[in-house]
Amino acid sequence: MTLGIIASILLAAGPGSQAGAPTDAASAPLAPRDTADGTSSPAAKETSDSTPPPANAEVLLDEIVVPVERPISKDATEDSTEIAGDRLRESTRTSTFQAVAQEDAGVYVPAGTVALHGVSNGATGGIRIRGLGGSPNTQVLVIEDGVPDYQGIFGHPIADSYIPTLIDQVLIVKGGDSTLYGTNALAGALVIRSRWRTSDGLELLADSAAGSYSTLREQGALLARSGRWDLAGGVLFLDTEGHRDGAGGSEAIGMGAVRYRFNLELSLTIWNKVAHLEGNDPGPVTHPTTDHWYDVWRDTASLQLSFSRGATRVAVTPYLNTGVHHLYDGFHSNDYVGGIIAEGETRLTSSLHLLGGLALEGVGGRVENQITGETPEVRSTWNYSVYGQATWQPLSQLTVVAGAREIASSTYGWIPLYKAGARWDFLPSAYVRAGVTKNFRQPTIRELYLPYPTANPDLKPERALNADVGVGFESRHLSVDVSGYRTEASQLIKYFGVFPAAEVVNIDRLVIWGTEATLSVNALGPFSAYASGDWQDVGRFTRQNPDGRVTFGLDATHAEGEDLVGISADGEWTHGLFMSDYGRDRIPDVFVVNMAARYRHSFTSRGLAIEPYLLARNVFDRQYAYVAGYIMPGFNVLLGLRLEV
Amino acid sequence: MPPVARGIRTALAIGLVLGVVSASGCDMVYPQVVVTNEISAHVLIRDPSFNGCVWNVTLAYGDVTAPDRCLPGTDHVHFQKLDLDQEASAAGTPVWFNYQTISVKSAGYGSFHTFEVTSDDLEQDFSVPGPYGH
Repeated sequence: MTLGIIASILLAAGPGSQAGAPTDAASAPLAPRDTADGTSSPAAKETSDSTPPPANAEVLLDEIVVPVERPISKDATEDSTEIAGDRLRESTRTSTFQAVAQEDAGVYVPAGTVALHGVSNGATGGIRIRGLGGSPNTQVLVIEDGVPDYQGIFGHPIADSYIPTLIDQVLIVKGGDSTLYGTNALAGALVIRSRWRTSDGLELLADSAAGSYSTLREQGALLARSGRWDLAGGVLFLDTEGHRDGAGGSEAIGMGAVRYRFNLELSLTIWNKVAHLEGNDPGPVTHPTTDHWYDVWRDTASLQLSFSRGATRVAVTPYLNTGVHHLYDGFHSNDYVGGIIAEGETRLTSSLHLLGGLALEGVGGRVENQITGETPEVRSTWNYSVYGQATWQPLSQLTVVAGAREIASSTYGWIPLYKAGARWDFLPSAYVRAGVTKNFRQPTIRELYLPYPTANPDLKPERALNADVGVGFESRHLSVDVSGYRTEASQLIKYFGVFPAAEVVNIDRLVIWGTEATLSVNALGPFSAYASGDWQDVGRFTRQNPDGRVTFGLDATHAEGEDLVGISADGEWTHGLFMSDYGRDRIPDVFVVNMAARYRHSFTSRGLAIEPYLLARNVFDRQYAYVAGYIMPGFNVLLGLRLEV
Repeated sequence: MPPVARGIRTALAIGLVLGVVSASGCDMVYPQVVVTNEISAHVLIRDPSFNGCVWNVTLAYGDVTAPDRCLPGTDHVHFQKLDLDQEASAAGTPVWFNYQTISVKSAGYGSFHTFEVTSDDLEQDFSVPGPYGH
């Protein structure tokens, strides 16, 4: 009904928009596995120029303003993967995190659910990269539009709170980078950049879908640019009964941003996102729980004043992330993560590019047990940081990066961090790369102060020294990248035992070795395919830390006139899953295959595109689980209709 | 036929086909299960569960749960048991103990099952998860 009304409005809207012939890279239909800058690569391996143009620089060509989008990566030597927003929007996977993990086997997200990831026990939105992370994923930092996104009490992002229709690109920084991003980027970082229009006009996307388990999903995006004003807004609604008792839930996410460009150099952006999640921990299938509910409200707001002139850019970004969490057992919390980041970059000489910044961040909150009235004492933490990074290109084929960050913590004193890397493009299509990063994560308020099930106010920050080396080849039709890595973490925070004898302590040292490889074949006639693999030796720390993963996909598209048909299949194999350390309590390997079919018709004269699609998940109806007892859904489908104008 | 109308027609036709496929998702043929208390007249059971299903009810002897669609597969029937004879001789709040069937039940797609809990097919259930830990 809603779609019918929208379709009528859009059909009547007439020409003037670009749905049939997209002008923005992010709006290309059935997106190939390419980066936004046009380089084709496995999802796609980092290929950014090490000396990027300034953010949102605009080049005046014969009175046509051509925006030059700055690369999402700030470090051309780091091991990273860029994923175009269209890949996420068209993914067979339910959530953004799942879609990211499908694109790169080096990212492990233990979920194939149709419902919410949830929070707390039973949550499935933990992310692991190179052996660290997990649930909660406090060791992988999410940065959304320049703002660290994690909640104050538990220290992790809300996995359900991202809107695919608004995402321009996601950058996976493997091995972490606390020099640039600060605390929590211990094992990796997901850098999310939102879409904006790059020319005057209006762009509307509406996507409605329904499917198994009474699942309804509505999402949309509105992008506009007129004169000095830019607007980007999006919504996501999801409601489902879930695949078993207690697995249902609903979420409503809304995000809006307004940018005013005073001139070609100076702009002000106001950004806000609100998320409301209602769900439940369903418990293991043998003992389902339908009353372990949670109710979460979160709001993130930021303001960014940005100045760009030539190769010089300065941006000041104050932000505040607040939330209210309410759980069935009386837990009630208010938390905040707030701060300000001032970052600038410039090119000193033709071969030397400098980036530096100052950051201030505070984390705190209040917790109450609304049944007993107990209010554990919680102390806030403040960090002051100064950081810098130099990118030197002594030769056009050689890039060297060095950086450092000094953190002054109100709780932990001075914390020095550093990084270094190099990349040599020894052939026009081939490169070798190596890097090392020293990262850290401060303990969460939960770990320090909350007796759920235990706390330890004497915990020290976690630290990691990550190193990797890789070699790759990129061409129009073929991309290959092979990397080896070593993660050495110290003072990791671990829980042992069960209530009331549980304890949370720092452990001494952990070393993980691994190798990753990606292979991508692009645009071979109507076909594109990719495979990505990760194999690691996690030693005795096998709890929810798989030995290996392989993800794969095959796309076929055929376009004729205004019609386009696409079929794709993707899947994953996860091996060596255990519920306990020391290789105990093994879980059978995960093997799941999903499929998608799309038909797109563009009414070019009216600037409208209509696209029915079908997502079929777990097409072999395999019974599998990432966490013992939490059986994932069997074969299920989602039928949708997307409109673009 | 103008291209616009042809395009809409094609899209709707595909949508209809996909809709039919969508409506036939596997969850519609998940097995239907009921649980009945056949232990004895002085024993109550409550919150029986089986492979993803839980019935938040108390069953007296002979009572049957409402049908629920469970995941296909195998599991014991788990429940809490209260022996009224034992409670009558004890003071204080009644204590419900965790039990499960000894036998493993199986339920497949498209089937209907009545799982009887009987006195000769029950044992204590030590697989109940611990408290919620945030």
